[in-house]
Order: sequence, then C-alpha cells, then structure tokens
Amino acid sequence: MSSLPESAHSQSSESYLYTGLVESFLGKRAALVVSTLISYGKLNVRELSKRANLPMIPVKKTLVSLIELGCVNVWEEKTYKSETVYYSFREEGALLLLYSGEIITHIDERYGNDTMTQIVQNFLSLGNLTAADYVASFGAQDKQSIVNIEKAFTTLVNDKYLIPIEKTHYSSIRDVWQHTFQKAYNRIPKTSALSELKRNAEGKSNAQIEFLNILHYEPDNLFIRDRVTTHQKVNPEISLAFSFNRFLKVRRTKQLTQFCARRAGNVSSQIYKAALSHTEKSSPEVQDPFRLIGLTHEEIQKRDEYEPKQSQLFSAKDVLKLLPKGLVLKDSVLSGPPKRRRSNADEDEESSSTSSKRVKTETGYIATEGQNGENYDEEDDDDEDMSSANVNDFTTVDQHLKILANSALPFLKKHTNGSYYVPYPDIIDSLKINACDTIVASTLGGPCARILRCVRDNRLVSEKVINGSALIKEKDIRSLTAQLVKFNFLQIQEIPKSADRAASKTVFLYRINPKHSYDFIKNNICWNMAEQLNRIGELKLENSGLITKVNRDDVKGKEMEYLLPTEITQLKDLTDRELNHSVKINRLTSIWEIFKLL
Amino acid sequence: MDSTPSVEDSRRLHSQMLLSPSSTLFTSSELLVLLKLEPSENEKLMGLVQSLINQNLVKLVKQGSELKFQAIDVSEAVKRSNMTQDEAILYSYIEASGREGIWTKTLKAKTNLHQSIVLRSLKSLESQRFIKVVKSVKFPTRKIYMLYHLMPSIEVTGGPWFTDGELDSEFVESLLTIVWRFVASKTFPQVFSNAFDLRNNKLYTANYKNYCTLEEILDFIINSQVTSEELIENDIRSLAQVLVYDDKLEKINVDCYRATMQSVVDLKEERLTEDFCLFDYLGNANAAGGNELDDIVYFDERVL
Repeated sequence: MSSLPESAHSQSSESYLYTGLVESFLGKRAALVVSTLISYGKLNVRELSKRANLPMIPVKKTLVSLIELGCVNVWEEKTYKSETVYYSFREEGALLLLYSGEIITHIDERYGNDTMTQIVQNFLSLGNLTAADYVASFGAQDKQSIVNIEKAFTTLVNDKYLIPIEKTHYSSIRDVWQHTFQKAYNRIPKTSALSELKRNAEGKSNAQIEFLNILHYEPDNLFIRDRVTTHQKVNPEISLAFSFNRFLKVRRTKQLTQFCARRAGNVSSQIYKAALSHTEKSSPEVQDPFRLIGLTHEEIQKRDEYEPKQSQLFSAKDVLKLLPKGLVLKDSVLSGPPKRRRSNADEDEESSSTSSKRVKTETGYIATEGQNGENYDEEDDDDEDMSSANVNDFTTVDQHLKILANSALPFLKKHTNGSYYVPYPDIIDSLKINACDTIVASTLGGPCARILRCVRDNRLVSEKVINGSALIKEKDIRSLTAQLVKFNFLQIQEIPKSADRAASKTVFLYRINPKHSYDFIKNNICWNMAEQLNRIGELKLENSGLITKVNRDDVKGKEMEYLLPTEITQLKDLTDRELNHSVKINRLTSIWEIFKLL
Repeated sequence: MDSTPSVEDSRRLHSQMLLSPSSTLFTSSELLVLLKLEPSENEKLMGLVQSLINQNLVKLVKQGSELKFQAIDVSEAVKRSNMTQDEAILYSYIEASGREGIWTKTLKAKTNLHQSIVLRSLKSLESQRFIKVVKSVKFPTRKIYMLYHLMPSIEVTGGPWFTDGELDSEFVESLLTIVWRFVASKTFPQVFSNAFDLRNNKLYTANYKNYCTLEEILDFIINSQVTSEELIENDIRSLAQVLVYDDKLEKINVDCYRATMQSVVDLKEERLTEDFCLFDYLGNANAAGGNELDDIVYFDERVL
C-alpha cells in the first residue's frame, strides 16, 4: 500500500491536521484518500485511484466509510452524455472526529442521560441513522426502553442536535449553491430589457432563499404522534445526523462565557451563560453559509446592524429560571462602596494626603488600598432590605444584565421593554481581537501587546508615535516591532520621501491587518495540533509491541498479572505521555476554534 | 551742524530702549520718537545707533524687509565684547535658536566657518558658561547647543517621562501601577482586600460611578506626593492611554477610565474555572513557572 505522501503534511497546516485525524480514526488508506482529495479538490473514483496510487476497489470501500462519517462530499454531475460522480474533502467530518470527545461530554453534561449520550455516540461513529434503525439494532426490548429511546430522540431533534437529512447533506455546500443558482438563473427569461449583470444579480438573490431552504431542510412529517401514548415522537423512517453547526453554537457559548468571566466577572458570566443557553437553539449560525460559499458582502445583502429575531430576545425573568443552583447572587451587586467603621471614616482615600497616604513607588504598593480592605465591614453588607429572596434575585440578575449591556465590550444590547439580545457579530469580533492580544502578550510579552494595541488605536504609526504614546524606549521599539512583523501581527508600510525612493530617506510606518494576524495564528495553532497528533501516532508506533500485548484478549483487564514490571512502567509512561499530548490538543483546539470556526 | 554722536546721547538712547520690555524691537522712526528728534535728524540717530552697535549695546534684527534695533543689556554686551568675532557669530545663532537649541551641523552651515573653528569657539563658549549642550529626545545622537541660562523646551526634553533625554521606564512603570491601583480600587469593591474572591466577585451597579476622571487621578497623585515632577492632566492622559494599551484600563468616555476585570484576574494569578481558558494564561504562566510552562504550546513548536 502506498504510504502517505510528504505533501499531506507540508501542503498546509489543515491538511496535516485533517489527514492526521483521519489516519488516527480510520487508518492510513483513508488518510491517503483524504490527502489526495485535499490536494486535487474534486476527483472521480478513477482519478482518485490514479492520484492516490491505489486500486479502485479499496478506494471505493474507503470512500463509503468516509462519506458515512461526513469526511467526503459527493456530487453527481450530469451531462447529456454521461453521469459522473465526484468526490471532494469535507471539513465537517474531520472536525466531528476532532470534537467527538467534547461532543459526548457536552451531551452527557447537558442531559445527564445515558440513552442520549449513547445515541449521539452512535451517530458520531456511524454517521446517519433513522430512529427505527437505532431501536432495531438493540433487538427485542421492553416497551419502556423503546419509549425512553424515542423520547431521547425527540429531545435531541427538538434541541437541534440531530437534524433530518436528505441527499444534499452529503454534497459540498458550494456545489449545492452553484446548482441552485444555475436553476434560478435559467428561470429568468432572457430579454433584451434585462442586462446580463442584472440577470445574474436577480438569479443570486432568488437562489439565496432556495439555498437556505435546502440547508435548513425539515420535512413536514418529522414529528408524528404515537398512536398508543399520543406523545409526539420523531418519525422513525427519517434519516437523522448529528448537527455540527449546532455543536458550534455550544462552543460559541462556552467561549463567550469564558470571555465574559475575564472581562465582566464570574457571577456576571454565569448569568450571561444562562442567557446564551436560553437563546442558543435559535441563535444565528456560527458560520454564515453565504460567506462559506464565497458571496461578497453586497451579494449577501446583509444589514449593517445586527437585528435579533424575537426568539433571540430575553429578559431577566427568562435568565433567572436557568441559573445554576449553587450560584450566590446575594450582594453580588452593590450600589456603592461597603460602609466602614466610624473611627476610620475620616481616612478616606480622597481626603488630603497624610503620612499614611505615602505610596511606595518601587513596589507600586499603595498604603491606602491595604487599609481599605481592612476597613471594610463585612457585616454591613447584610444591612440591605430583604423583602423577598426571589424579587431580590430578579433585581440582581437585571442589574447584572445592565452591567453587561453597559460594559465597554458589547456583551449585550438593550432591546425594547427591558429585554436584551446578544450582538453576536460585534462580540465575536471583540473576542478575536482580545484572544489575539492575549496570545501576543503571553508569547511575545506585554510590551509587544502594548505596541499592537497602540498601532490598532492609531491605525498607521511611526516609531516616534509609538515612543510617545506607548512610552516605550525607542531603542526597544525596533526589536519589538521586528518580532511583531515576523509573526505577521504588524505590517510595514513604506512612505517614500524622495523621488528616487531612497531607503535612507524613506519613512516606514506600521499598521495592522487583522485577517493576516488571525490567519497566521490559525495556521500556527493548527500545525501544532497536527504535530501533537503525529506525536501520539509515533508514540504508539514506538510501543506497538506493548500495545498489541495489552490489547490481547487474555491480557485485557489483567495487565498487572500478565505484564512484566518494566512493561507496566512503560505502559504507565505511554499513557501519561499520550494524555499529555491529548490535553495539549484540547487546549490548542479551544484557541484555534476562535479564529477558525467562530 | 555737528553730526558726531555724543556719548551722552548714546547712553540716553540705550537706557530709553532698555526701559521697554526686553527683546522689544524698535524701528528707526520709533527711536526718533524715543529721543524726541525730528525726522530730519535721522542721520544723527544713525550715528548714535552705530556707536551703540560698535559697543555691542544694540543689535540689528531683520524682520521681514525692515531693519530693526534691539537693546542689549550692559552685562551681555561686556560678555560679547570679550568674545572673538567667530565666537560672537556662533553665539548670536545660538541665542536666536532660543529654547529649541541649535545643532552643530546647522551652526556650521549657517556661519560658514570651518569645523575646527566652530568646535574651538563652541568649546570656549561652553567653558565660559555662555552656552550648554542639551540632549534632545527627538534626535538623541545630535549635539544641540543653547544659551546657558535657558531651560530646554518640552519638545527637546520630552516632558516628565524623560530624564536626560532617556525615557525613564522605572518612573513610568511605577506611576502606571499607582494609577491602575487607584482606578481599580474605584472600579471594583474591595478589590485589594483579602475578602475579594474572583469566583464570587462583587460589582457596582450599572448606575454607580465606578470610573475615574483624569482630574481625580491627578489629584490623587499630587496628594500622595509620589513624585516631585509637576504633572498636568495631559501627562495623566498619556499614562491612562498606556494603561489602556496594556489592557489594564478601559476608556468609557472622554477622560473617564475604568479598570478592566482582566487586569484583576491577571493580578490574582488564579484560575477562574477548571477548564483551560486562553485568557487565564498570563496569570498562570507567571504563577506556575517550571512544569506548567511546558504544557503551553503556542509558538514554541512552529516558529516561522
């Protein structure tokens, strides 16, 4: 069998990651097929077999499992002469492999129901299923178990984790769009009054509605009423698949909650999380399909302002119902500084300087601040009037929502009648900017992050401006900006001052192109993830003898008896190292998704 | 009529000119009025002026196309009369540059004197404490001269953040910390007390004024007497701006600043949640050191 070509790793970071993922889950042959498809784009079986240097039969067999798991797209192209089936790589499938552990953990945490977790697990390993197939796979079962499974299906479909699919589900979104557009375009009559440009634009605008209908396909008979129990249940004949887009919303909620905790506070973030979860199902798609197919901003006809739908609005009352039980809301919002003991009241910070007001500049320690802490009287915090716990909680939640709406970052926006909504496009932009700054601060250092923000603030700056406004020594600026330029965070713009563009007289200014920075981070982290995955593979290869022994039926579960002490140590070391790499992949994924998926 | 200027008249003209504020420029007609002379006696006036010029008591200043006269103090005139001709030329250019100072290269170009003469004359003037060298923040490599008794302008010194033309990072950093701590104590309740708990933090209501204005920060710095430098609001504005660039403060309105929660999280150096979060990294990296750092992979693997 041909081995994986060098290009699988080197052509792009994503190719390295995706082939690595497919290799670890589905084996080398599948990885080779995926790598070939990534390299060449769309291929038919004959071409694929030739390019991958594999016989037709194994290619076809591999394609079946890859299509089932959503790693390959299928597209039938019909001409008057023949019908050719083309295959192309599908990112979603590989991402599902990457997130499979996270998905199962999320479903388990969210519902705490083993049946549901098991259902999702089956969908992840098999691709698509009907409810009837799933029930049948268990063989004869008692009525209650079947009802439970049906209920689980209904909940998962209702919450949009499982979505009904049809043929187009396995097609590339670009192909679907092209086909839809062509149909819409052909429907417009060719008249001399309509220019080609207008015809094209009209075709695109008509096709957009049709395209969305195909993407959000939902058959009328998705839910049927059970004749015996009269409960609503999912139509057992309809094929379902796990919705990756729905899971992305979960990731978005998580990222935004974490972001909110660091920007507004932990308690507010819990309230924000409840608000996000409340509207998660109906929230806008994380990845705009129109952007994915490459339509321009004008063609998408997006409104400048994000307008929420009615189902995306919420109020303090809605949020209150969803708050975690352990969350202590009492006294989390104060109307002013806590009262102090009378004797110390005159030692207010704002009063004129006394000997105790000295500030030690070397350490930055302020004596007055330390006193503040000691002077606070904890008991005084309890003085507030308690008429009813619920009313108080409602007021506190409302206060938190107001704080978030008034925050410098657009976590929430106020709508009419005390309701709020999440301005997703704005807050995601802020999240990306902050994540990028944090990465710079943690890897290149605080001064680099300071320069980056300074350039962002002033758009186009010279070293002199950085020196004056960021208060960094001029001799340090050159080395710091050089680092930022090296990592694509800054760009240099040349402003020639003489007619011959002499370098000695030219002024060089700095500016930021966020897309370049984000792409750099995205590729870099993606490569790191792939590298970690590769190391796990190498680790397994190095210890293949031991792994084969451990996986033997007679040894499984009795490792302590059948393995030598050295082998046990080796096994422990192997598990530790594998876990270490997996944790790294997990961490990197959580950063990567901010730039790649959100 | 006798046109030779009398010493008496010259002295009178000089003292009359000195009565006006220094650096006042006089036209010849104004001088005629000053001496209560008739316009026809212009020749006499010129004689008087010439004798004063010869004694370095008056200098000629060309303003536009008009020639004007400026009285020079006697002590200054004595100083000048002791100078050589080259020194006097150089001195006059240095004097004209005022608080901005003048670069040696410019001096050489303007006076058209040989380098060695310029250097020798400058050395002599410097040793007599007539002029001094100042370090410019804008052009740190240039040798800039100005009159000995003048204070360099803010453009030359760079303001309070510069000491001897170098950015005083330690001073700036300590002031930044002080400003941030002051603003943070106003933004979050009990933020620097032991009672403050990141996981269960308290906040002020949305309508409470939890921000600081520049005026308040300046008052605090003046009252706490942390520095002998005279700071103005503009200096505090630039400090606050740097803190905004450090993500420690956020600007919520014109000249109104609030501390960011992220800065408090970084200070406390503890994780908010069990899950890994990118925004926890700074604190963790500082606190953990050693092994924990090995777990962090961003750029270490693939540095392009």
